[in-house]
Amino acid sequence: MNAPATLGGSALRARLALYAAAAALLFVVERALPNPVPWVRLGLPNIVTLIVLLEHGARAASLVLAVRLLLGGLFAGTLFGPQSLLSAAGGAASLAAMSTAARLAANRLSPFGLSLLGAAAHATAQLGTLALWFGGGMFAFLPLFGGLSLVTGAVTGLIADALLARLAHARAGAP
Amino acid sequence: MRRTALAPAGRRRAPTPGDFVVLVLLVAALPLVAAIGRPSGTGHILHVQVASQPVQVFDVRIDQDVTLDGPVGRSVLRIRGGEAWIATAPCRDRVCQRLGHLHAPGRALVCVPNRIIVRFASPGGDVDAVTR
Repeated sequence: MNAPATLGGSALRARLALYAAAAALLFVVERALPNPVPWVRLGLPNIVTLIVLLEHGARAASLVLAVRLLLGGLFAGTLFGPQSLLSAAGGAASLAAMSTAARLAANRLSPFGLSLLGAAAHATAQLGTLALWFGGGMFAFLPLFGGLSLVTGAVTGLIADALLARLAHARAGAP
Repeated sequence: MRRTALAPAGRRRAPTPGDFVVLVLLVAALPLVAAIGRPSGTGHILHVQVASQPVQVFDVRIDQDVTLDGPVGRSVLRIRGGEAWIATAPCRDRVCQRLGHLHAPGRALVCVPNRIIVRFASPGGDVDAVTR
């Protein structure tokens, strides 16, 4: 479990760059997938945010998130557009919720619980941002999107949990 | 950048009792949120807003096509038989076209790139404040 702590500055930066690239790739792949419900996506990039948060802390996770938003917006052609603002609001709220919960209840919540909170914060922040443009009527969507976010948050949380376990296992088994 | 104490050596695997508490709380919050967000409306007056232009008002009982010129281009709102939907959209993803038909208060048609929102009027009406 101690490997990340022993990483030097440049090794850590290299690892975070890889995480950011992976997150941007997931963002683009997810956009290309058909989504049955308009606006609702699984939130695959959030898996990376959660892993970095738990492996390297909140500051590293914000860096990876910022680079992912920039790269994702660039690849998708939505940089600085309304969709990018929505992504940023959702991503930042999700990270804030997950890192706060991780700090307050690190020993009580698994990545699964953290991911649920992150997904709920994501949905709420996106509708809040839409409400700034379109008025409070947007919150009529909250039960629908909030409910769906629990499903997507559960799925991505379980994936993050499995990946984190594999990371820990690989480190423990490493010579 | 120092590793923080977020991930103690004995990090819990899912699901923990705390996870279930979070899940139950979030699920319990949904009906509450639904009650707060419950729409009210007169049922036949549509409010249509494009970007920061004044709100336009339409009666869904009158069939018509409404062209809406937003930041991205021209969208067409089609009103037929008490229902309204986005018939054409200039944006890439066309999420708004897939939002389906609007026939009762509570949902809205929204196009984020073209900054369009279509919804039923609420009884108090906020139009006066916008079209002053």
